[in-house]
Amino acid sequence: MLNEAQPTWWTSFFLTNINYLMMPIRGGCPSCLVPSSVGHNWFGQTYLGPNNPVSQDGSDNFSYRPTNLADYPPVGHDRRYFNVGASGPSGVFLNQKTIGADYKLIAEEFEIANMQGLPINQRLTAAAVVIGIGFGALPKTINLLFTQPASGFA
Amino acid sequence: MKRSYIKTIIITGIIIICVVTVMYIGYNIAPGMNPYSERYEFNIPSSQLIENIEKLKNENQVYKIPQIDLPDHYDNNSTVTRYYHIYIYYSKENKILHLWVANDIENKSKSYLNFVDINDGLQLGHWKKINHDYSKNESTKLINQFEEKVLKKLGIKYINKGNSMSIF
Repeated sequence: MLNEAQPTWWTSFFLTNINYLMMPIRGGCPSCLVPSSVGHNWFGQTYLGPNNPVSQDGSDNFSYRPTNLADYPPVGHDRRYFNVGASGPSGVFLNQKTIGADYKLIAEEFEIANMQGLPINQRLTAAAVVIGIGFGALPKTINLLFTQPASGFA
Repeated sequence: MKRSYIKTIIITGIIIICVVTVMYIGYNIAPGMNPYSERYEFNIPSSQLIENIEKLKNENQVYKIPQIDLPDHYDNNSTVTRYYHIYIYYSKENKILHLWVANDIENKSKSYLNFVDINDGLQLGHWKKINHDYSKNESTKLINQFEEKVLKKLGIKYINKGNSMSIF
């Protein structure tokens, strides 16, 4: 019987950071991820928070694959905010253009919070996002529904 | 009378705790890109603003980054809005400034410039976010320096909108 070769920790590390390791040979890689910029958010999350990982050139980088399932929906959420030119708590609490993005995030995180068999920390993170964004986006949603009931959500 | 007074205090306390909790979660989630960056509003289209900044860089060679290849470029993270990243070099301080420019979504004759972060030295990957990695005093000093060295030299009227982490 053939044994499938399992990658060792050092081969995994090499494959994950190949672009970074090749930098001195290539003469720089502006679009490569800065490994030290990963996991600087709430509870060590990668994308769930204001400190997204960055590229060598300082722009946001979404190439890192998070280990927490609750950390995936914020990638799409951040991009949707980016598309409408919104960011930060002012985007969550005040910007009506982000209502669609907020409720999509809530739906995705709600699904994760209800997943049986998932580690409790991942489910709790997802639940915290549902509560925080849910209540945070509620006043602007009510305001939009009363001021422009036929406008729909972005 | 006393009972209803205690009840009011408890209800008020619960409401305050709920509001603070939601605000705390909102601040920690802070979606979008570069919420800490200092934001400036211009009453000209982004293409014109980019052109003016590039002109300033060409006229003042000290703003050009030596040795490393770091061209100004459009971002590929957004499919809708086009964000243009600009790098300016402070030769005396040996620092690289990272900015981006984008059009307003609704009003195309309006644009925004965000002063995002600063890289110490010419080795990339040592970025420090303005309004976050620096103290408040240092950030204010760097913002004022940026306005003096770059924005005022553009000769275009602008409004400082602060950063997105503040909602008041």
